[in-house]
Amino acid sequence: MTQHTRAMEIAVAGAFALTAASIQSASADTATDQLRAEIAGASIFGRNTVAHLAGYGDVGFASVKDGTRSFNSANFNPIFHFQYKDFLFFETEIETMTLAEGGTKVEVEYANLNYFVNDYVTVFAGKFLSPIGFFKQNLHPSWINKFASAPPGFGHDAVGAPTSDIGAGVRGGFFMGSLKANYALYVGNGPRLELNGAGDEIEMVEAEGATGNADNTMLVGGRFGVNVLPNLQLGVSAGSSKVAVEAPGGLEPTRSYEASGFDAAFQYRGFDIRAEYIGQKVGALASSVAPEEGKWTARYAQAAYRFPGTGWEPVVRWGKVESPHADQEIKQTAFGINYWLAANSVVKLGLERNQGLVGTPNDADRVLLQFAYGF
Amino acid sequence: MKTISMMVAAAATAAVLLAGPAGAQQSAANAPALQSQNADPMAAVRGAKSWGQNCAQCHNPRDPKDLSDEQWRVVVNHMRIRAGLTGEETRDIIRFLQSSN
Repeated sequence: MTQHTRAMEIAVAGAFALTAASIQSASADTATDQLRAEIAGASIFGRNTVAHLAGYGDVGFASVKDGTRSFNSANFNPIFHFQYKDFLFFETEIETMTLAEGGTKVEVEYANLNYFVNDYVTVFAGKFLSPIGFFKQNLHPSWINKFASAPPGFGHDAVGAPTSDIGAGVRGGFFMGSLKANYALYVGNGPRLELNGAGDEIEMVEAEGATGNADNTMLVGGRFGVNVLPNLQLGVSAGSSKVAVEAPGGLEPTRSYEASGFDAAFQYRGFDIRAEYIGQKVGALASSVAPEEGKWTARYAQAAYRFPGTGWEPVVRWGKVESPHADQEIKQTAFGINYWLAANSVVKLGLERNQGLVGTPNDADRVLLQFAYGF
Repeated sequence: MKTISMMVAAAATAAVLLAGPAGAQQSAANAPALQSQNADPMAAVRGAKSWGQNCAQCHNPRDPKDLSDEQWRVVVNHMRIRAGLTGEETRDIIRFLQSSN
């Protein structure tokens, strides 16, 4: 075979290979286009609507001093976002919790519709996390909370901070010169009062959003926060309403309800330091079956430090709940060590030193282990 | 209290009505705003700064590669509600994340 003939053969083979590759590529492009078209056709949403599934899940283990040891939590909190163009936004978080006695509890943590009126005003309505305070609204997800439990009074215990409300309001952010501010102002159904077993004292303020509003009064509340430095935010919040006891004999006349709060958060080079106080006060009413006033307060301070270049993060937290009822009061000092597997996934080991009424869960120290993942 | 509630409700209604024409045409109005913001080379730079300052106030900033362009568009609007971002901050952060993922 001459060199010329061999070169011709190689050229022909190359041309054939290129043609085959071209045909295959065109075929692959067509298949890809078809697949894209099928996916687009299968979507229940058009170009104007975007849906997104987010949320978080966690599992936990707790060992109570002189008490039980158990895997005490397995929670799944899906968050659904739906956005229409760039001005309508619906968000809802469904809390699904595995119960101690078995079975599952499902709750709507929040479900609200938001209308972006302009760059500085958003009108919202529905069930929303209470803007009175900061922890519940912004820090409660387990992958964000730096300790394996919520601070005393800031969880679902209904003794300290309001958790949610159902109503409507406005919120947003704006600049005051070089300072960034944010705000939320709302009207909601407000809290309810729960009597003790004897029916002669107010046991607690039930401040989780409900569609009922037996006393026909509305709560006006909100929060104003300002970044006095880019990494230092201070916030004040307040709420005011009237509430009535639903006594066995019927609905009583209303009495005053006031909530007030203060929060601060500071981040600097791996440090995350924050503190918060919330108080709820119910006025006295001489004609009531539970005539005495009551005041519940919750506060905490927390410091965490993320070692540079590592996933390790020690955290220390102090918290306290004050109540008219001794069995609800608690003082807590907590120490923890976190290991971040990713920005949104953390393993938390914590020790709670709890001081409360002897014999109550509030007086039992706990070791907690939690694995949380936000998605 | 009823008076205050009425005042808040009236203020909210007034805000909607006053901004109504802009709000009703927001998709149309936003299109050129988004286009001009996308064309603004500094939008992503401002967005990176806002992203660092706002997100870290509550949680670890997520890797831009964690989510797609469309997902970031929704997630950052969720954060607009939660963190009190302005509309411009929101668009800047979306621009930054979409150009970094």
